[in-house]
Amino acid sequence: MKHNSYISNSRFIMITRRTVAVVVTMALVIVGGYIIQEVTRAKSSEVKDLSRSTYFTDPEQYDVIFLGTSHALYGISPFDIWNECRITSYNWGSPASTIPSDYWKLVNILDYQKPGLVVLDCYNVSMTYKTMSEYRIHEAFDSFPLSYHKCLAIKDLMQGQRRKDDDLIYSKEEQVNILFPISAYHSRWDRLTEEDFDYQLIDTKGAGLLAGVAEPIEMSATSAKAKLATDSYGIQYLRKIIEKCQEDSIPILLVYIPFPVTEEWKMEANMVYDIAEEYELEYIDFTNLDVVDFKTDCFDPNSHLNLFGQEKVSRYIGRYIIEHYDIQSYSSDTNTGKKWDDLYEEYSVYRRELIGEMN
Amino acid sequence: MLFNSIDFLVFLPIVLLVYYIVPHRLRQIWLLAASYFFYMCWNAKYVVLLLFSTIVTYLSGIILERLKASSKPTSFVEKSKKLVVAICFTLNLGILFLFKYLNFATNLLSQVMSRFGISLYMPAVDILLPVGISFYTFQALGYTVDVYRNEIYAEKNFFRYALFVSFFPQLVAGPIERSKNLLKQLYKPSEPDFNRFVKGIYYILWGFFLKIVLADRIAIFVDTVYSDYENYAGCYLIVATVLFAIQIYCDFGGYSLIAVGSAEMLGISLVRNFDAPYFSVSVADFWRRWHISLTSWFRDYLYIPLGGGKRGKARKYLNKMIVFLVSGLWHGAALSFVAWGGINGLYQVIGEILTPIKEKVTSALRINREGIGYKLLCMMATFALIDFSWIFFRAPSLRSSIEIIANICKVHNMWVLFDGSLYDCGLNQKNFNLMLVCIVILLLADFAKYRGKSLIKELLAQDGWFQIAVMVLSILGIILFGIWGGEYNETQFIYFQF
Repeated sequence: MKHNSYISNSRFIMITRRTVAVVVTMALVIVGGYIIQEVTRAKSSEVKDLSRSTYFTDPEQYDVIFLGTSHALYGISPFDIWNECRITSYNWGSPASTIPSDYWKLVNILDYQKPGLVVLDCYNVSMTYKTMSEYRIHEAFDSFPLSYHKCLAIKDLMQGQRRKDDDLIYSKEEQVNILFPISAYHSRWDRLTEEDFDYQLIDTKGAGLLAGVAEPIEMSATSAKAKLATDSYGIQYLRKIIEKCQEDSIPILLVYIPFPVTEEWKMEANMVYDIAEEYELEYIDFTNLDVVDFKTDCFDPNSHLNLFGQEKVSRYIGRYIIEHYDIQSYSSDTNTGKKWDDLYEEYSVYRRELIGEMN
Repeated sequence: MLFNSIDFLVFLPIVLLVYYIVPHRLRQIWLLAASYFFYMCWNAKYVVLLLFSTIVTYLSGIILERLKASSKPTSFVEKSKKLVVAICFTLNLGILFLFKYLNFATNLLSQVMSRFGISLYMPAVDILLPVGISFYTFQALGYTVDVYRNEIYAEKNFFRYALFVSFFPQLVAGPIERSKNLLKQLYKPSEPDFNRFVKGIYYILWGFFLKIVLADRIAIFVDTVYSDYENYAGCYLIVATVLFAIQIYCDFGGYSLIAVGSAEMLGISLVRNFDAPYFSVSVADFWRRWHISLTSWFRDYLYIPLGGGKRGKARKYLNKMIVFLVSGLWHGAALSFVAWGGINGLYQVIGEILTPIKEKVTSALRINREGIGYKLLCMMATFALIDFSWIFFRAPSLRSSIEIIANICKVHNMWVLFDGSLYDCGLNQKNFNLMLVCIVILLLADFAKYRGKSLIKELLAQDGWFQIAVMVLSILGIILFGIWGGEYNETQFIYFQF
């Protein structure tokens, strides 16, 4: 009996030790893999913060969320809005984003907060592809941790879908690359710099700032109501965004950020009027307004505003939001007010440096 | 599905888990189902060919067994057995010929006839090569011959036999198993063995290191140079050819190790396919260490039936040439592969002819043939000869092989080895240096194997904490440095591209 008990004790100890060894190994691999992912992940690209780390430290502080393409990314500055009307906002614009991508960004954002207002730039609403390329999806979604809604987003945007860049269908590997950014970023091991280990962020609340002035292309006029007649993915997902906001009782404002439009883009902007009317939404079509001066406010000839144009658009949107929506303004004696005032000072210094480099 | 894919990394754990949970009597059925699923992931409709080969060779085994047991006259039985084997070989090799060699044969015939002024139009048949067909066909035919030779009894259990042919770890890229080894193990499914499990993981990790850290990294350099060999001539080609020798070893060897490791985790031992081949002291020695399962298959099922070395020297040399030419053809349906095989055959023949002269010379010069210096010289000479033949294996065609050799000889640019030019061939300096470090690691591991030491055995004898550290660092190293996933490219992240 003693012998049997000794054997079963020994066996139990052996099984326990082996189980612990397996668990410890797996845990170390997961932790190590996470560290590799975070170190090798591209924190910034050109002038934008890919990690969006400041959003996730306290998502609840942002009353307004901006969604859209690089037009929104470089056309709206939350700090310029703060300076104008002291409302808090975060810019979730990403380059070559699409309305379907913006829908899924919103769904993922709603896992963290319920904003007081969603502002959606409707550029690309006429697009008949769900996404541009794998890299654009990286830029839109890498900052979101792995979650159920992120998996749904990738499934909807990529599984069996063609991308605009080369009209090819996304492979399974490309989908895995998005869900596990380490698969795309690990090859950066030979390009790591101090920034990868000690990322010093200039907090712009998600916005990008472009310092430069370009001569705009010649804009072609078109009749006020002519529009592109397509039932695009853009229109389908615009409806989904609106309905999602309605379902969650979140007001939504549609905008079309200004840029030197050709006839095709003007017709795209005109498409949004019907949707706005159908859902009784406000729509700021900047292509019909003289808010910016393209001679001084363009960064490139045909698409993006520089930081001067960005400031004008941001102030306009800020004033519009205060007049039409019930969004809180923070006074300087509140915690949020003080924090944002300090951050605005840093932002202003950074902005002045950029302007200085321009000159 | 490839071994180095997410699909396999999900597939294997599921197979293992279910295998050890289900009752013993269902284990082989589960493995059979998993193996067929594995094969169908490549191309579902070609599973019919796998099944056909399985049925034909299974039935041939049964018939051979019945003939052996029959009371008919011996001469009749022998003739009938030979007929059964002939039919079995014809059917299986016929399918192999149809899918792998038909277009090659018709092109060759067309070219030969055109030299005699006869124009022969042979439309190319658009057939996708069924993956692994060369491997499982040989494995199944080997079983038939083993039964014919009374080396084993015919397998009566069709499902067990089908599993022998289709066992997924070695189905698509070997090692080519013998019935005496694999089929025997399938009789007694083993109990879970933690040490074997860990051993299997070590094999898999080493296999992934060879494949995705080293082979796929070298491939970037080799592909860059070989795809533009006119511009990358001279020393570029020499370096690329040397690296290709390592690439093909790591690619194939790595894949084999993942197969061996996966099988080990299922409690099945597969034959080792490589034994430190680049430490060979002669070409004959190389072929005892390289793709061992295929070389031994050719020895046992082609060379020996042809008479081997028992019918005089001339016949022996002829048999060797036949074996190597066929081996070349087995590797690929192109003249360059045949040339590669033929060159290796010639090496063997010339090596044998020169052996007495070599012995006389080394004796006369009082060279110690067991000394390190002599062995090192032999290893380097063997490597040079084998590496030369790899040109024919890697080049896109026979003509390209000749052009590449010409480009190596006529361009003299040794300075590229020193002035950083090699970093412009697809691999930047860091990746190139990492590749060199990994090659050193490989050489050290193979040297240990050459000296009879098994690093994995040594590792298994170490303390648990040390093994955990080795395993974790290996996995993380493969994740960080492996060539997998998307290649990060800053230019793709340019903000204004949309």
